[in-house]
Amino acid sequence: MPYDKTFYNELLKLMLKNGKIIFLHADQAGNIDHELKTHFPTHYINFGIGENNMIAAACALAKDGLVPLVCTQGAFLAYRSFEFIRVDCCIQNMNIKIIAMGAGVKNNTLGPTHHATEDIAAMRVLPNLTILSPASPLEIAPALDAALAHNGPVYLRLGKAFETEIYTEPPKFKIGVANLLSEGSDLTIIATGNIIASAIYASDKLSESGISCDVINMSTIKPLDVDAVLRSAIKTRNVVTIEEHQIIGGLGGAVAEVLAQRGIGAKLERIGFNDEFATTYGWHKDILENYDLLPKQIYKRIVSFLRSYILRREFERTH
Amino acid sequence: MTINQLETKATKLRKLIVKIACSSDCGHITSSLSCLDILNALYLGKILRYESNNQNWLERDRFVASKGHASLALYCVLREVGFINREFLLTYGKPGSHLGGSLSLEVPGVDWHTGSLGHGLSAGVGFALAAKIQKSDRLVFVLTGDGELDEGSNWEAALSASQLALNNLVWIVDKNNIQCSGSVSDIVSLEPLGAKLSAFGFDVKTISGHNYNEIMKTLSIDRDKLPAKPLAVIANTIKGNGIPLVENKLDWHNRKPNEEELKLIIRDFGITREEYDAL
Repeated sequence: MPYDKTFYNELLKLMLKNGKIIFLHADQAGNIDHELKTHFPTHYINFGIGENNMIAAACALAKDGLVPLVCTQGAFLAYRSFEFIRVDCCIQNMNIKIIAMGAGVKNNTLGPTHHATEDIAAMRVLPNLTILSPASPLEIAPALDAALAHNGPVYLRLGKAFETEIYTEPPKFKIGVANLLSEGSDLTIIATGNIIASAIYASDKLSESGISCDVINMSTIKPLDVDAVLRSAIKTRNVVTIEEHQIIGGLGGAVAEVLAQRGIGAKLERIGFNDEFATTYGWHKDILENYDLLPKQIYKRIVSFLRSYILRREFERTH
Repeated sequence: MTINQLETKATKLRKLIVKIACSSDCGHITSSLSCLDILNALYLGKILRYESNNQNWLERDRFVASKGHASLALYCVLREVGFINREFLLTYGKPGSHLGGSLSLEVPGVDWHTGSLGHGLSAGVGFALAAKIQKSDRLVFVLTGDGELDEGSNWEAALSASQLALNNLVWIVDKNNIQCSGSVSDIVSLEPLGAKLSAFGFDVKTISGHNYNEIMKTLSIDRDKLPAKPLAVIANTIKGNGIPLVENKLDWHNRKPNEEELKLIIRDFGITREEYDAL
């Protein structure tokens, strides 16, 4: 089931259970709008296309004991409303859940204005904010439960539709704890969001050549599971990060900070958008292809990363 | 408290605002003085429903001072009604204190952290909506500046207040006609402001923000007989009210008096330097 549909189904269940939840959106609810509005006339409000006002109002609702979930495209929340998230939500540490749709270039044909390719970087710098990024539809419900159980602001990064399911049942979700999907000894692949399907694809292909990988689902971006990164990096000494986001400031940036600060001499390759906007149009996979981010392309990039490293090590050994 | 008593308090607080701003080199004197009478009426005049010994009382009225740089005026008033004590107030602007140039939620009696302009009315919308959902008769008062209305978020909030029929919301505009770099009319004119607020769905009243009779009459709202629309009150004020040297002066938005100017101000207050120092 698509991310957005999965999310709204979960939302309906949660709102039936918890009368404190109030859902605000900036004209983005789509075809479930009518159903939710009918069920919850006072707790389901379309605030109109005004994200800043919606964020600040949600924070006041939170201060008076309600649990607001605010929802629209991540691109509008993280950039346009950055200062409202910073001041009203984070400085005051308000208990609101920011539901950011359209992770990465999921809003493909709407163009770069709608792409959430810098949102992790923008949000990651904010004190008090927790950032969750479920890998596939089955991880949404446990992530949402964890977000609601956490008393403080949460940015929940969701995709849109046509996501690859990587789980067979809802995984356990604990904020700040990464999920190790497979274990190996040669390479660490850390990914966040649905592009993790490419990490699994690459890991499977590499295993055919006798290279085994740790594949880590980093579904909490902040607080980052530093121990999981270090444990694996110390073991493999080769780390690849994969994200549908800029490599600057995102997951790759976060992992680089950990490796550098802890003095882990691991080689790092960050795969994502390399300081560029996705300005070309097309369907999701067309855009990924243009930026070398399809599963096969990612696999090739990992192979060349490993080759260059092995060659360099060979060079250093012989000279 | 009678009108005379409110005026006497305001005279006292005006002096204290100058003294604290000068001794801490922090705070906006003239912005504080334009809204002091309104704050005084809200708290000492008991327009707001609150209990200063029970600051988290759910049924208190909410007050959001969106023009957070008038923090010094609000803190002085909060001290008068017992939310904070004198010792704490005198830490204003001092290293390590939560009292400073913007309003902080860390301070008892403060409902919203402001300083960045254009946030308060949206917070007021949220508070008013919460009261409606929780079926409470509490009221929500928001004070904005006039220069602050350049921020588009105010108008998003105004649309929401009307759309959501938040008749428990009162928006007070401290219309002192001066912003950081000059006069409001020269920078981005708001006129006709009353017509704009009315077009956005508010009942609009215009008063003198220094006339306690008008302030008390207009803001004392019968919570059992609310009209259909939210209320906007345009309070015509004087930036730097009560200090002739700085009143309506364009360059006094964020400055402190030098020694010579302070002597003149103290003289105009009609007190001696010793009395000023003992404030």
